[in-house]
Amino acid sequence: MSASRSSCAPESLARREFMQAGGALVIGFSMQGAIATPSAGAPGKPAGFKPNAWLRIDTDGSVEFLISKTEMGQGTESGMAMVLCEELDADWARVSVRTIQPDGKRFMITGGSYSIAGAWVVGRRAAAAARHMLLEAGASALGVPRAECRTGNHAVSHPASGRQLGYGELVAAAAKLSVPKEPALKDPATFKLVGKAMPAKNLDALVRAESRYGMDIQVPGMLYAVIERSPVVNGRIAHVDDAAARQVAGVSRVVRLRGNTFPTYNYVRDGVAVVANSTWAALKGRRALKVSWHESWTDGAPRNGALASSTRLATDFQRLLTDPAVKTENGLHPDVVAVRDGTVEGMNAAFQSAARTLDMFYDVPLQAHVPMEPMNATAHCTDERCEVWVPCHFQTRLFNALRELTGLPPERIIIHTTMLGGSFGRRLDVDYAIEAVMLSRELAKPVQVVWTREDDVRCGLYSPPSRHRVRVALDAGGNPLAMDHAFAALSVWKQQEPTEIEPSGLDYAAAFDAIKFPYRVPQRVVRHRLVEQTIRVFWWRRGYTPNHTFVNECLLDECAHAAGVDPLDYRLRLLPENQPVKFANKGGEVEEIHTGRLARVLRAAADAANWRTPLPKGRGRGIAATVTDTHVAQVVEVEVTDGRIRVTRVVTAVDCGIVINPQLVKAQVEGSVVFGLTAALKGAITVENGRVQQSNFHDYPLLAIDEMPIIETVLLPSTVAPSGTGEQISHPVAAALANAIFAATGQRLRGTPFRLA
Amino acid sequence: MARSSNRKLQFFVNGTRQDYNGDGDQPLLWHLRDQLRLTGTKFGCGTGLCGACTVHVEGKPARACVVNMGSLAGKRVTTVEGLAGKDALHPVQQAWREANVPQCGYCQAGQMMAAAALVAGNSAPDDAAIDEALRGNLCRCGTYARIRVAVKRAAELSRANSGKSTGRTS
Repeated sequence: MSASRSSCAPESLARREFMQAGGALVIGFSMQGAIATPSAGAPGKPAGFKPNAWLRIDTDGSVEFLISKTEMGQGTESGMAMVLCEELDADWARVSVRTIQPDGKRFMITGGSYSIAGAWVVGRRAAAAARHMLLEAGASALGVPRAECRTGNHAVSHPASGRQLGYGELVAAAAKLSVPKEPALKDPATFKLVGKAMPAKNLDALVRAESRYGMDIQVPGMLYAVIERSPVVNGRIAHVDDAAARQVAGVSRVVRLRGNTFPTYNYVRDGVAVVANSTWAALKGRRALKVSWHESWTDGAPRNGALASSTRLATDFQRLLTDPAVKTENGLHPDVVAVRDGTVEGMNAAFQSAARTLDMFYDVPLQAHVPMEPMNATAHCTDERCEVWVPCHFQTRLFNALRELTGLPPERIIIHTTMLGGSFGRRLDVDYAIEAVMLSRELAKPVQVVWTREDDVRCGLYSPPSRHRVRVALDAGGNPLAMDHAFAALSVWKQQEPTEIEPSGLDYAAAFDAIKFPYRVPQRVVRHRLVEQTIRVFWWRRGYTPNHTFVNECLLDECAHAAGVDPLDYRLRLLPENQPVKFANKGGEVEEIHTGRLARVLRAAADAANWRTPLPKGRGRGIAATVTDTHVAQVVEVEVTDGRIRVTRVVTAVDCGIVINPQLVKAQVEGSVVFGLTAALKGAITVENGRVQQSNFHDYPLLAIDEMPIIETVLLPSTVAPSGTGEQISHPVAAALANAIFAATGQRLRGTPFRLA
Repeated sequence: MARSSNRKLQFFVNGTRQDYNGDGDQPLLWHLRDQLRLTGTKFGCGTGLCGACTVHVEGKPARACVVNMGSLAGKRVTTVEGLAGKDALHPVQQAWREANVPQCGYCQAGQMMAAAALVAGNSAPDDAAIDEALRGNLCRCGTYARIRVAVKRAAELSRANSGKSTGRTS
């Protein structure tokens, strides 16, 4: 952390955000560096320290937190503000939160469920520094020793004399003091705000429907546009007949947009934009447009969009995992080894001496993000200036892309982050905003580009599909001697950031959650083979964690049943006792699973779900767990009648360290359960001839209210630092459900969405 | 194909008379958002599948994305902006706030409009009635559990308020 008084606030910030700084006390801090950067790739990460968050106390006592994090329904603004407000001893009612504008100097991304953890580590220190400065200023103003003074409720008080001064009155003096480097932090036992169920800061605006999302932006003179995009990746415009489109009342222009070539970091499809004075006129104009496309213009399969096919992908996956023509280890393809515990010889010996072996294939399909607010962006770009209003949470990525596109200096690029109508990872890509800027440059006018739901489903990015082959050797007691997990997948990094792949070919983003397996298996190998196709894949509630959690937690259940042991007992038996188990990720970063915490959530979920109480015929329970900093276990209860799967109850036990706001954590649990159930039970995205075959909610359905199970949440008390709950909780749902279906029916389903035989 | 189907008509939005002179095929959604600048009504699917654009037409829930302007002559439309009085909250909004329903909030105007129509016609909706009335309103954040709680609470608040005027429902 470094701190700066208002007079030496960073230059661009001083201009843009602090024109009226006056005597305010401002402390800047950096939200990254304190913790691991999210696995969502981050090129252009600035070297060295630049504050990307500030806390500012004004002379009127108002407190503002300027954060680089983006609110999209996950409660990050409120959660972070509670942490800072607590440490500052400020009055919650006088605290507000604002998202900063990116300026190219500071890294700005929201992802990986790291925001709260970051606020805890660095935000608290900044707030504590401010509190110490106010305390010092207060003691001096009251003419009493500092040790006799207290902070609390937005004021410095001197209990002995009963006098006190509000923060606002002390700000000018406090701002002249030097910033303590290692300020003492409050004892969590004394917390008053943290741990309380508080409404989100923006709740009132939301129930009044007054929040402004990207689509709600209206700029004077703004035009509306929709874009007819190439139906396949890398397609090029062959011919445009826009005569009828131009006849549509309200349509003013039809503009060709030249995209770039996949694979690349910021891929944009070729398209034809219909520009009009209303969204409806643009939509109607697009319907009247006739465009034909060159679909196979490029060299070979990796770039030929028309060849993309789910069927071909499945064949490729299968061949890579089973083709006997390829020289193999244990009969499997010799792909890139991500981790090996033990030796090749040891593994071969284990499979030879096994009392029993299992050989399972698991499949995870493509999934779409489909946030309720479709992609959109509003841009006003001239030769001098580029201004964008956009629901986006990787602002640095967009900023860099717009610098490259426009050639404008950094201070002429202005990105306003609007409220986001959900993202789930989709808006970490910024293709939709680049399109709007391309079009606005062409028009030299402000324009809002709206994607229809069909555009979103057909022309988007999808969760990475994978096929897994897991072979397990069990001893006579049913304990695993060896496990060989091979998987084939599409790679986000190969498509967008190939330099992130290790020289060995290892893709840590794809493999890490398979590597991260805390159960005792003496001989273990994880390897992968990456497949290249023109299907764009992307982070989706993280990237590959849903896939590997599904595989790991199903295979444990299968082993338990093979061993004739209860699946909960089997897990507990295989977990090393109460210790941190460390796993190396990319760049030497280490992630930890604490087996004591994991066992505790497993037991807590099982207890709350009456795990040991038998269920009648046709019903069953399944258990699964996952750890991404936060330790999560889930029990799903299912009822199967006439071949119909009905999820009746989902119990989740969460250990996310100190709970900042139980109300928001529970909201994340409830939402994540629904997200996980949609993935497990509903549609999948398929591609043939380069075309996504789904288009809207009729063929890519979401779970609805009438399919809701009872959701119960157990938040376990903890004194360790808080960790995220944004997405982890959606990860075990599919496995717990598959295991429950097996318990209810004896049918083992190894691929989502689940369909009974 | 591109023939304009221009229509002149009058209709009412949140109690105010509006003159419409434009494409009769234009869905109400886009007229509300682009021309009347009532952006509380959201675009989610464009085909009546998700409920994000739910408004009331003559007091009944309707998907504004599939209601054409040409069908609205003389009709009364209520949007989320007109659900409550000027400063007050509608019982549904009060209940939504008490239950901390919204996450991203994008679908919630539609959810609340569907709930308000339900509560107006059913003073004590049970789970089956809630399922029936709201199964067409999708929420990707997954707030359904709290929506169920909030609808029941809204009915309770409405019963307590009955006799008092709490705002328009149509």
